[in-house]
Amino acid sequence: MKKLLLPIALVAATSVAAFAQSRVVKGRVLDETGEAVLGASVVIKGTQSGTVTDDNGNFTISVPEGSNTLIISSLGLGTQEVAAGDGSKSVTVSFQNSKSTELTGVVVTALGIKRSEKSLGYSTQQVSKEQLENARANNVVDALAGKVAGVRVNGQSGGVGGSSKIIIRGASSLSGSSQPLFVIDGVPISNAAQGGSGGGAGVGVDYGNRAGDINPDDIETMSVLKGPAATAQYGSLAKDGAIIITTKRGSKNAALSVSVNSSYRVEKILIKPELQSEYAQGNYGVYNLRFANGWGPKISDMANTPVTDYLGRTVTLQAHPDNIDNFFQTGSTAINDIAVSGGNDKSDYRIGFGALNSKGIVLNQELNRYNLSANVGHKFTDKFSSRFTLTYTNSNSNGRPAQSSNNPNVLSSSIYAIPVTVDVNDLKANYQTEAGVQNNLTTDKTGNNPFWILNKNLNGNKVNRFMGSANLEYKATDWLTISNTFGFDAFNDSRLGYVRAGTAGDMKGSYLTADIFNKRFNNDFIVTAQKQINKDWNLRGMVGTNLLDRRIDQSTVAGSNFLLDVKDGVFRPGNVETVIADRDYAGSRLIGLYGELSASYKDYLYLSVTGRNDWSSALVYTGNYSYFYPSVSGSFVFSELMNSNKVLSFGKLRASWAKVGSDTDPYTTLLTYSPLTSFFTQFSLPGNFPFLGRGAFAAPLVLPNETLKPQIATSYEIGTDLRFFGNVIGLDVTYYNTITRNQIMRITVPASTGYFNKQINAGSITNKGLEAMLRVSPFSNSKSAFQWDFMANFSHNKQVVNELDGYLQEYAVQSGWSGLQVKAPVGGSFAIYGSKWKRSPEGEIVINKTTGLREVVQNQFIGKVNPDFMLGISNKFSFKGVSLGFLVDIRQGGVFYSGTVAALRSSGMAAETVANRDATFVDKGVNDNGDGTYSPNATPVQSMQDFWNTYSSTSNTEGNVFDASFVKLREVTLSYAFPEKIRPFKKAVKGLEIGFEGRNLWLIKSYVPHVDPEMSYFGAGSAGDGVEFNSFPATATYGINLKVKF
Amino acid sequence: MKKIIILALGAISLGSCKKSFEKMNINPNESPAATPELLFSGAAVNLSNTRVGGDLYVSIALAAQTVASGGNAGWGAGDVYDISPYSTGNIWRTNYVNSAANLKQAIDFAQQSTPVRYGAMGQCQVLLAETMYETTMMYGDVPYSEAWNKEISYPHFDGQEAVLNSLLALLDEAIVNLKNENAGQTTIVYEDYFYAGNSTKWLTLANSLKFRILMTMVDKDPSKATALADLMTNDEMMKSAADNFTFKFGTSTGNRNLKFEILNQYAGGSNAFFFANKTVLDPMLAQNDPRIPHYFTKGATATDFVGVGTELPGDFDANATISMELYAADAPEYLMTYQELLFMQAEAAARNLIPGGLATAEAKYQEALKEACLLYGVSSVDAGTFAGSKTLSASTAVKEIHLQQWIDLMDRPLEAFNTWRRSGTKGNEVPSLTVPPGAPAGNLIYRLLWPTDNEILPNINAPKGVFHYYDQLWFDL
Repeated sequence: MKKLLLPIALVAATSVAAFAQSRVVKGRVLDETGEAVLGASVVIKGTQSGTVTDDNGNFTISVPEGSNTLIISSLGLGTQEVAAGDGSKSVTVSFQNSKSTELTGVVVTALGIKRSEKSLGYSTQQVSKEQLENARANNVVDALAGKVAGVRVNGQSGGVGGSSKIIIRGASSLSGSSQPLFVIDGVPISNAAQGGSGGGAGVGVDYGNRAGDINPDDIETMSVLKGPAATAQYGSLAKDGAIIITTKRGSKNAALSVSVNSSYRVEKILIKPELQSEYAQGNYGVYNLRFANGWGPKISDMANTPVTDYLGRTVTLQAHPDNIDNFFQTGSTAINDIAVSGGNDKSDYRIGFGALNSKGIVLNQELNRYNLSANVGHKFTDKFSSRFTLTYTNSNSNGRPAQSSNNPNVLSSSIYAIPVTVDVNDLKANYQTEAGVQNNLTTDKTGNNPFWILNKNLNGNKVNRFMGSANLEYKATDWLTISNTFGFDAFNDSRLGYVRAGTAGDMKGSYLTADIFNKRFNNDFIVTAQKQINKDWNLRGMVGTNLLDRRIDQSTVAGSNFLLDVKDGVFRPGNVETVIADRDYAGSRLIGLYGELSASYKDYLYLSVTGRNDWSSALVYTGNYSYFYPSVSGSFVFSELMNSNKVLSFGKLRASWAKVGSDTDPYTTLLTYSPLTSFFTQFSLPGNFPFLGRGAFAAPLVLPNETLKPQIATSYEIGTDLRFFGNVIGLDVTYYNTITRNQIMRITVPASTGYFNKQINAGSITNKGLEAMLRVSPFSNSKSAFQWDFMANFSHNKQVVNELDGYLQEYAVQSGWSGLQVKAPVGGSFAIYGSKWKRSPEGEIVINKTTGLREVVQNQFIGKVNPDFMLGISNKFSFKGVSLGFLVDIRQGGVFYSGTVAALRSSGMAAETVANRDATFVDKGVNDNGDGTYSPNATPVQSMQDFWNTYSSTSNTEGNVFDASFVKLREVTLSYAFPEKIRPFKKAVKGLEIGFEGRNLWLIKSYVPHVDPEMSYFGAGSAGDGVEFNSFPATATYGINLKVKF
Repeated sequence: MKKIIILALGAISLGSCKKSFEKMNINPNESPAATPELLFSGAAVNLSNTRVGGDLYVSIALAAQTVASGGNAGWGAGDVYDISPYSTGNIWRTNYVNSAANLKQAIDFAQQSTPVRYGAMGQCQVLLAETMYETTMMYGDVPYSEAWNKEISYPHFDGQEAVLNSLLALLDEAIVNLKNENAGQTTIVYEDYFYAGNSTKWLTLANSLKFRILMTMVDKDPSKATALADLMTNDEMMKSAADNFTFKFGTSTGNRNLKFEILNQYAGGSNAFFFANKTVLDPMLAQNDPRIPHYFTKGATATDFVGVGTELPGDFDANATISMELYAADAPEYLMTYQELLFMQAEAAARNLIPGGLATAEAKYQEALKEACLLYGVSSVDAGTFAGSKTLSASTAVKEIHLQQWIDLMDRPLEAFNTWRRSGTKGNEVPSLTVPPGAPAGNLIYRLLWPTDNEILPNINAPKGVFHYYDQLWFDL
């Protein structure tokens, strides 16, 4: 359909130098959507002289007398000839066939600068609004899954508003988060995941990550900048890549337009655990109300033996195999967006309102998010223009599930432990007595009735957030632009979690409030000069300064033992016996001075050099608070030098090298004593100061480092972008290698030094990998009504920890439970360590001769966490307004620890625990004879209860670790855009589209029983991965979507 | 005009300097200095709570067999020597970092005060000695002479003998400080959870702890008998239960005994985890011990107190559990008791380590039993009667004393474990224990393993090799 016509005219045109009076012609080049086309070549027909368009699509050219035609060409848009006119009027050139920015080859790069893709010396990938609008994800981070090579997305939980973690090109840090920087309209915003599972407010409760506040409908484009070369201008903040979001704006000279985008979706649990329905609760085959499990008698054997149930009723045991189905309800999400946009010749505006109302798959779980956004541009004069954006987000959630262990409110473990002989509907109707006393599921009162938890004990938060930017731009001359962008992001996250009196484990009840105030402002002042030196050379220089100021102020109040237990309140310090209040403040400032010099030769050779110096307040006492880092990148469009051929339409090589420095958290370089509010206790028991009225202080646990240096990541990447047969096949391949040195991390030191950790500059991690993107659109050159777009994103990342501190051989990235750890060993990558089955020298499993059970050895390597490769495959078919798309996400390799599986099996609930209960079971393995010899095991296990209690004990890591590979049907969309002919209310309605959308529909292949292998316990703020611990189940969503444009 | 606006905005980016950075990076959440009081407070709470928490109490009570898990019915697998590396690591870290490191700093702050606060120094030194005594009794060789030194990243391990001798020297320093004329006025008072700033009681404790350490060493180093006799002569040790080294708990959340909190959080406030072990209950039944109903609660439908063997299946209907008297929210934790000292003195006399022979041994033994009964709630009449009925004969005296120590220390598993290991050569301890079913065949536990993650791996100077939970420590014959 659209050929990638190469502007051969430019090269082949004969030189006719005409020295005559010339006139100045100004003009602008736009694509179909009215967007500026930058880097389009503008050549005077019959000459060699020409120019290229600037960021705004504008050009100025001197046209000699006698010439009256301009040839405008741009990659992916083709070539047009237009009349130059007499110079009195600006020339506007519109290309009508362009469909997406991807084809015009313009991408948004660092600092929001649009650049032609062919000029870039590094890989970026842009996600278009179409990709975000269809099958909309509640959290924009989730929408990237499978769409961008090298990007890995993990949801922490399936609860509504749960956090999602995104890792670009592998984790670069051993400690702390490896989350990319989010930049909206030039402003770096907070993607904090504060106090989720990492502790703080509401242990084990996932409060989401703040990028989840972004309304996907406000996004025009989302560029993923993957490597240091791409993010060099952001410096420290973007050491793990950056996601550059440009929000939608109105078009100039466009009539008022209203667009509505509505979806209604239902949610169902994606993976239901397979439970047994043959055995009742009990112990070693004897019915016992003390246990919520499946180790009791066979239900069919109890037909004539009535028993007492949890409510004291005499009943005959009966299986309720539909308990899980009856427990989870159908969740729903309504997403409604309406936007008004338009503009005149001086201004454009867009005002959008979005509402997301979501109900979870269990009672009282909800998220309501409202976004109001405005994006207004105004041109005061030809030289002076401005743009303002403002977004207000109000997000209210409740019923956020507690996960992990050691918390009486953990939901999934209490759901999956409901004995099959208990009817969920009966349990629901009877979770409390008429007097409001809990009817516990078990007699020892360890087990909370899950409906009690759902009805009584809730965790929620309210976020009020303002984000905005103000940009002023002054074009001093046709080659010099001065601009300033001021941005801010301020939000208050107000949390309340409570446990009502009468809850097992917390009989008198407790509450926790946290008020987290986050504020940051950012200012970039940039001077850009761009000059077309002659028809071959274009130079561009830029200098800028950046100021980023960040403050976090967090206050928490934890009260326990209510004086009065009141429904929905009173959650105030006066209403409890014990109060612990704390406050934490952090402030830091970063000042940067940066510059860039780039040159392009003709239309095929591009070179860019950047440098940035940062001054960081967090490093001010170290003497190393100022640091510089450069980058260089180049691009060579070799196809420009080739004769036109039908096979290779476009070919580009790119290469880059970059360094990025980054600082540390504030207040970590001087020794200080901190007031204590709590002390460590095993099993998360409460231990608080003041203790019997006495307070305490303590020396730091982390030995500060007064000579800390900034961390430096050095990276190079090479890649190629090839397109064949016009635009039928596109292949983009990148190889990268990033070494992060002087890594600022907290290594574990011998506790005998008096410290837990020491802050050091150490270590080096290499992340190297291959990313490939293949796009095939077989019919794109034809006029066929049937179109098929196939896209595959492949990525492979190999992570190697080269060095820690010279001596240390492994580093504990995260600790889990009972010996489970995520560690980074020298010479390897992040891996799960823990107890493993003891094996004989021949590799056979060693079994205890007395018990018949497996023996274990501690602290062993179990498997690496990161996948070998990821592959996202999408297909889109369209025919006369009907469009069908689906995205399959494949992950291969890595291991996954499931705490839920451990619980299901050790409690005798999982279906597989039924086997051999009535038989003798001899585990395959050998007995250690104690003299270095081994003989085959012949000792049967005393019971299958003993077997599974050992095999799936949380402390026997290996028994609960699985291959993390999976294949998942991530998205399906089916839509129909009404052609004008049959569109109802044609006059008013300018566009109408209806569709079906689905997300996370089908886990096609998985090696993990009972749960979704994508779950993750460690939140977005942690370097740990590959572990799930009583996570709330993930959901599949299906829905319908309606888009109307007036 | 417009240019000015733009330039002014640009200037915001540059409007900062090093001075403002320095001000900004001063931590408003923490203080550049602290006081001995506040550091002592944190150390004392950490040490005492570790003693009663899930890592130390549960692991050692089960492993040393003073308490029974009831197999699957109860909690934990310490009795089959499956002690989580996290537990050994947590105890180690709490003792070295949360407790000892802060005491070392508290001693420095007290020494730097004007006038020098000898009282506070003495208190902190005694608590430090207790902390490190507990540590070496669990782990054996441990870093001491090179520990807590900012200049030393990889402290060498000292042999247990050297550590114990260093602790004796530390206690001697503490004694000198506590005898200083300003000691009485310069103690930590309000934050002293143990003796409310009474320097005389700390002095008494320092001498008693010395006695305990010497008793630990004397099997391996018989020359310590002289020092034991000197302590008897000086007569500056505990004189009554009022001198007990006791840490009290409260009834409000976060200040409660963690033994109670485990049951509160995971068992609805009743003891659904810990059974009476036959090793303790059976000898008590044999002598009709009046402490039985204070130590234990009968099974729900049982008429008698019936214990459970280690790791054998327990039954809450039939078997006795540890009583909620011991597991009450505000049940105090005893780090050292008068009766413990008396039992050791009786043992020393019976073994002729100190003068007095069997007569002294019996007198001390009966007084110890009486104090032990009284401490655990037996009426003074019953305590007197019971204690008075217990006599010693030369041939069995030492064994009888060890058995009573075992019974007395049931709820203080670390001291029970220490005394048991002292009570006889390997295989001849009192009481005689057997390897429980489910535990690897062959050996009883004799130590905790050094924590891999917190010490062995990151410490270039840590002992290398394969170590076992059944390796004996230096003091243990």
